[in-house]
Amino acid sequence: MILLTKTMASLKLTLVGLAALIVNAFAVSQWPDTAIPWLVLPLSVLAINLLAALIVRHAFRQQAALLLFHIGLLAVLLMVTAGVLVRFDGSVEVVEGAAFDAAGVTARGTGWLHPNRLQQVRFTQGPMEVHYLSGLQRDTTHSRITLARTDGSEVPRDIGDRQGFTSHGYRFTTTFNKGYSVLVLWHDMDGRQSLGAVNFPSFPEFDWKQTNDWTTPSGETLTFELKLAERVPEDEPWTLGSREVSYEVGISGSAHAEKTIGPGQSTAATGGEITIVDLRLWMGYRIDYNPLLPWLLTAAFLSLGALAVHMAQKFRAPRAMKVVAASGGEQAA
Amino acid sequence: MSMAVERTTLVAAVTGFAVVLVLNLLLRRGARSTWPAVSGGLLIVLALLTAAVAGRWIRESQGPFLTLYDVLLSNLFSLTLVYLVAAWLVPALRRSSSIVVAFLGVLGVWSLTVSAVAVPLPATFDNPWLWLHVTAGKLFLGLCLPAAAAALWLLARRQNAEAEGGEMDAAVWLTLSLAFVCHSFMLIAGAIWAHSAWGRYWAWDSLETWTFITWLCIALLLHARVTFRRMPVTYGWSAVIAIFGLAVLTFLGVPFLSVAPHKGVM
Repeated sequence: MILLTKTMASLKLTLVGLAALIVNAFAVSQWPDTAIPWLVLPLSVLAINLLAALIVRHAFRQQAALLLFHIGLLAVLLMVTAGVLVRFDGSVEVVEGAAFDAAGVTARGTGWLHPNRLQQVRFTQGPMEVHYLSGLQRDTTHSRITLARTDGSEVPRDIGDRQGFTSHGYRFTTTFNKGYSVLVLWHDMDGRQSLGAVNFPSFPEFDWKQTNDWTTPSGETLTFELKLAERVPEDEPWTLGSREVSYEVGISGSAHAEKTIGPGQSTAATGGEITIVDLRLWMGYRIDYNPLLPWLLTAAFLSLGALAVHMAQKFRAPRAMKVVAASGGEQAA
Repeated sequence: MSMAVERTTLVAAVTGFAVVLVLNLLLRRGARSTWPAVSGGLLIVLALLTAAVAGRWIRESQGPFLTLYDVLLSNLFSLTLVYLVAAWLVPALRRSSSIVVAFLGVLGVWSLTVSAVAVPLPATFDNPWLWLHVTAGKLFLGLCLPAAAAALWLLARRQNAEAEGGEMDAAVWLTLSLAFVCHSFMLIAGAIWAHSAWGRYWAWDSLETWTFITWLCIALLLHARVTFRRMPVTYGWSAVIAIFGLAVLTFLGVPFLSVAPHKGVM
């Protein structure tokens, strides 16, 4: 057992583990979706190697800072692993005036042990604006939301590029992804009404392709095209907002030729009628969940501090810092 | 400061590097100590670079973070400053000043060939952690340069290195070790900034990957030095030079070749 521990504590094994990690890190950059399989083996080898070294290597016991640095590294590794297991990474589009709906979230990554509490998040999207500099360079994003607390109270929050919000451990941040959305009212033959929203592609990035399909409650798929009266000015500052925007919507389907209507106007569809109610904006939020981040940060800083102390102790020896002897020591090459 | 004045100042600074290099070589032939002339010349160049960076900063109302020109200009400033401080504290590093100045001259000429047009800083970039991240990165590269220059100097004189290179060798490992600490801080600060800017702390984009690989390479070298104590010293010096080359490619190549968010595409 002691022999095995000493073998596992070998510095040569450390070198092999680090070399494998370098190769695999490059592989991960080529195939990012396969990060975990590439990293598990070398990181496991390094973790076991380090644990064994902490047990059998006297050098660690004699150098407290070096020991702390490596324990910190182990802690970082543990936090990253635990973070991967409980994490959630996703995105959602929320229309002005609408409530967040967890069913509309697109998950990009969910850890095996993620406690799914996204349904408990409650907020309503308020007005939003995105400012652009001349040349359509995106400047600041302002988004107002109303966040429902667990005690039932509601708090308004102004969020933007530098300020997200957190609810039930999920952090929501605004993204570059945002665009127009048209609210449509559906009346069926029996007089029942339902409200829907058609989100158009990100604007102004896809200003040339403002179309999207919407399936009516009767099952007919229609294509909506947003037709803005004015083009986005490219050589002066501009603000993306939903107020005072002149627009029309072209609606077409397999059974209908395109008909262009404005706000408040209606057109017939199979099994009912569609009325354009209003033009809004939608905001694309990034959602991430990782409750271990503060601990990961603490471990990383602890490790870094210990490394700095170790280096300071190591190079405090006068030899390294001594002024080179006058015998041509300062001679330049 | 107008763009024309900024460019003229940069041209003067690059010319300054050439003058310092020539002066260094000429004085060396006379077997005199060159450091007073070299450090004096570099201080003048540093003053010119400070003026160029500050002038651009004030005119554009943003730090030099985004474009290749921004990065080259700010690195010329930081590399010169860090080298002067390092050589002041560790005199052994003064011996390889010609190599350092020649490298800075090449960077300077490169900076004169790229577009100096500024690109507005995305709002998400405006975060205190960006400053810490970038500062740590500049310190890292600034410490790697004298380490690599000293290693190259030792390699070029490997016949006499045992006799005259003991303190230079110590200086190589001292600066590389300090660079490793700065690199570690850069990674942490960068992760915090990325989490704030893009909602994730790590995404394996090209710059993140190559920066991490650089960190791993330094860790590998420091461990190899302890593992193989009888390894020829020239192996270690060669590895230090290779790591500096990797760091330069990572900092000055990868961000401008990839389309990752680090490039500023928002």
